[in-house]
Amino acid sequence: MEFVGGIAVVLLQALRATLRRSLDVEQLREGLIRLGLHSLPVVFGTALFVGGIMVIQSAPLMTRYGAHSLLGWGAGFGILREIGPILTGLMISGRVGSNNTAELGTLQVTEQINGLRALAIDPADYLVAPRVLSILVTTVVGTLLSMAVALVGAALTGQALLGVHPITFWNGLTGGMLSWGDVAHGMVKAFVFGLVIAGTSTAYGLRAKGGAPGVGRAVNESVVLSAVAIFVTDALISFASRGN
Amino acid sequence: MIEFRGVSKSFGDKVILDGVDLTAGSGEILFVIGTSGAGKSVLIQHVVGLLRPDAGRVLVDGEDVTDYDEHRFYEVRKKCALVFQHATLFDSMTCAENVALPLRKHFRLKGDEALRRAEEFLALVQMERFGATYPSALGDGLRKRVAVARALTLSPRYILFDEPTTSLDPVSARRVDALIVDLARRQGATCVVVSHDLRSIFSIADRVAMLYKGRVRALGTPQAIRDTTDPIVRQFIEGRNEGPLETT
Amino acid sequence: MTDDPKGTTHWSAGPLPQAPEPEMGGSAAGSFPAGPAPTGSSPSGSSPSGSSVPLREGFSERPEERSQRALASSEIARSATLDSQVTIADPMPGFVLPADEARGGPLHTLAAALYATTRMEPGAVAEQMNQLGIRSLGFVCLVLGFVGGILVYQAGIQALRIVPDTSTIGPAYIEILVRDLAASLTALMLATRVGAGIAAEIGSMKVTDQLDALRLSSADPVVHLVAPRLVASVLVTPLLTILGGAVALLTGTLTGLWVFDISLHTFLDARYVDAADLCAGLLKSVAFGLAIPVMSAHAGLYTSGGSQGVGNATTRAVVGSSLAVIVLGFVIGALVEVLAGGAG
Repeated sequence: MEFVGGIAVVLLQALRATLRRSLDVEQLREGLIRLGLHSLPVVFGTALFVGGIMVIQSAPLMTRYGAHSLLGWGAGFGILREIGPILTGLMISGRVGSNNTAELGTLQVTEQINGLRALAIDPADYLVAPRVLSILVTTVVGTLLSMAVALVGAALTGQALLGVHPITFWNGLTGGMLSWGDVAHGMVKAFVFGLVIAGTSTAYGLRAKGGAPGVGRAVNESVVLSAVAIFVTDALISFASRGN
Repeated sequence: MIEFRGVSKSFGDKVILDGVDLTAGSGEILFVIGTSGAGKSVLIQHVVGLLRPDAGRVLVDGEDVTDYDEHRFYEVRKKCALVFQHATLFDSMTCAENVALPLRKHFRLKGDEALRRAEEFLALVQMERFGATYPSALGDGLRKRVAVARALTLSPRYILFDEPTTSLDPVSARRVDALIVDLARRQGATCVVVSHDLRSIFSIADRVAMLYKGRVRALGTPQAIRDTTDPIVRQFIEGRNEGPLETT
Repeated sequence: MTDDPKGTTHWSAGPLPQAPEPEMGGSAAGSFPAGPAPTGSSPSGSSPSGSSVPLREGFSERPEERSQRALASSEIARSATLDSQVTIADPMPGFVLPADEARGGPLHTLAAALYATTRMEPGAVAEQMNQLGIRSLGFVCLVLGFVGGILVYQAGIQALRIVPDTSTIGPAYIEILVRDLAASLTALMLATRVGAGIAAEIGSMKVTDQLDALRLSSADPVVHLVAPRLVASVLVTPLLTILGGAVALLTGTLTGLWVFDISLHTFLDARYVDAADLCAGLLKSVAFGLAIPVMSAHAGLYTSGGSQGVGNATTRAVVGSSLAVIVLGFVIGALVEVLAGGAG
């Protein structure tokens, strides 16, 4: 519960700073570049392989039913609704979330956050809000793009391994059983995961204490809790939306 | 004027401050001395709200700031600058960017303009050559000077120095002393200096307060401190190992 | 406009860039009587455009300087190795000095760790197995439990969209669990939990010079820290995979029973599972168990630069381990698929 409380405080601070427009725009821009743009390669690399894995995993089913036309649907469904958002979330948590915790933790244990406060600069405006926004945007945009990349990976693997032509794959994907609703479902998840990652990593970074080992500990706890929170919220959203 | 009235602070069951009464008058250089762990740094952090007292009041300009929330403290912090013991520069920024940050945030200066002004403040502490250097590439003494320049950007009327000469070579230490005198005498700033540098104490202080066991043990001019008969104060200023003074 | 910081006081120079020179010099000289003569306005301060150039230079120079320094220190360390090998009769195998680590990639760390397994202390592996296993058990079970439930739920809803037949959900789910899901998900969780832990632990020791202290007491950090974690992870990962898989099977079965009314008998049917699936699953979990500690220990041994460095090492460990799991999962999956497909 302390965990949920810490996240809530961070997110509220970020929301207030955004609404009052007191957040530091330069830090936001830097955050979007450093946390967002620079993690795209890792996210894309993951997505490409994940698409391949989805095809390999659905291969026996497809072969069993001789239903190659369904490959696009099978892989697409998993990528758009479940695996895409979850794996992108996990990678962003690993790359961006842990980086964020490490940086904030370092600022905390070296008293640089108190340094900001002593200069009458609100850490909520200068550190918290820009980072929360950057991570949220990164997760949502990264998930959307990685869905596309994962579908490409799936189509390529399907052709290489199962001899399914990309057009057949594409037809399976757009054949009517998948809709924009599935994409929207994935995006809702991405938004929630973004909040979870941003809140957890920021809260744990700000709470770090005890020098270098303390920063390591904070990062460790933050990635683990983000991962658990991603799976738990994923389950909640999936059940709540009842296949919609 | 900065006043502490019966300020007490404990961390867990460890009592650090146990009813400190102390006043720093306008334009004076007040030294707070004491052994390591006596609570000197803890005391001055109460002025800017980085720590809150368990009991007692803190007054700045006669205004009771004890119960201010974080937001109202920002106004206090604009007139009370704190120079941290370890300088606490932002290590992701160059020295000039460090000094420019409060200028950008509080005077809404644009990036280039703020950097130019930052160079002027760096020049005040003879650090203008290091504007483009990162703090991690500088030694302790140089970093502290940058921290002073950063603190001066807000034109504070009160400046709290946390061990400004500790870990500095003797020459740099005397330069920092000269800077403090300059700020107090020429600019009329009130300087509260936490220190155990005996040379600074006896060369530039107007008054000296010694903290011992969470209270003010002695308070007076450097001459009065030098002439005191209190065995604990004597042991401290003479730097003797043997004596009644208990260290934590 | 309140943008004149000097408006209320007289700290320093006036607002004009040209004006301050004399007053600035005077004030500075007053502050530091013994100091070097003020250089006047520095080149970077003279114009707004000029001021940004040196900043950028300074920024870009930093990493280079650092790598140069690292190179220089590696030279020193290497010559030190040679010396010690010449002078000491029974040399410590010099395979894993820090300078060597910094030049090798993760594969180098893997080779060093495998070589070091021959010289481990007997109790070390058991202790690490205990640490890794106990610390991760609850976490792995929790996550796999949730995933099991979600997957069966989603699969059931999709299956019902096409054919009103839920009888193949169970067997298909069990197959996918055995051949991939249990191993991959367990490993992804271990990549965050164990990977971050190993990197933070070794990284903290590195930045606080404890690794050098180990070396000075003739204890090879790879033998004492990396090898036991490697062996423990290879042994524990398959066990955790089996446990996690069992939990996922349990929650999946319950979801099938409660949501779709699939009987236990219909659901718990392993007819699709064949030898290739078992091989793929087992191979993956062993490979993941090897990859995670290697990537993480490598990140930890590489750590430089204080608390920030420890955090960065942890990040690299999590990302590196997760990527290794995903890529290895793909490669092994494709390999088994091609081989089994060719055989059958």
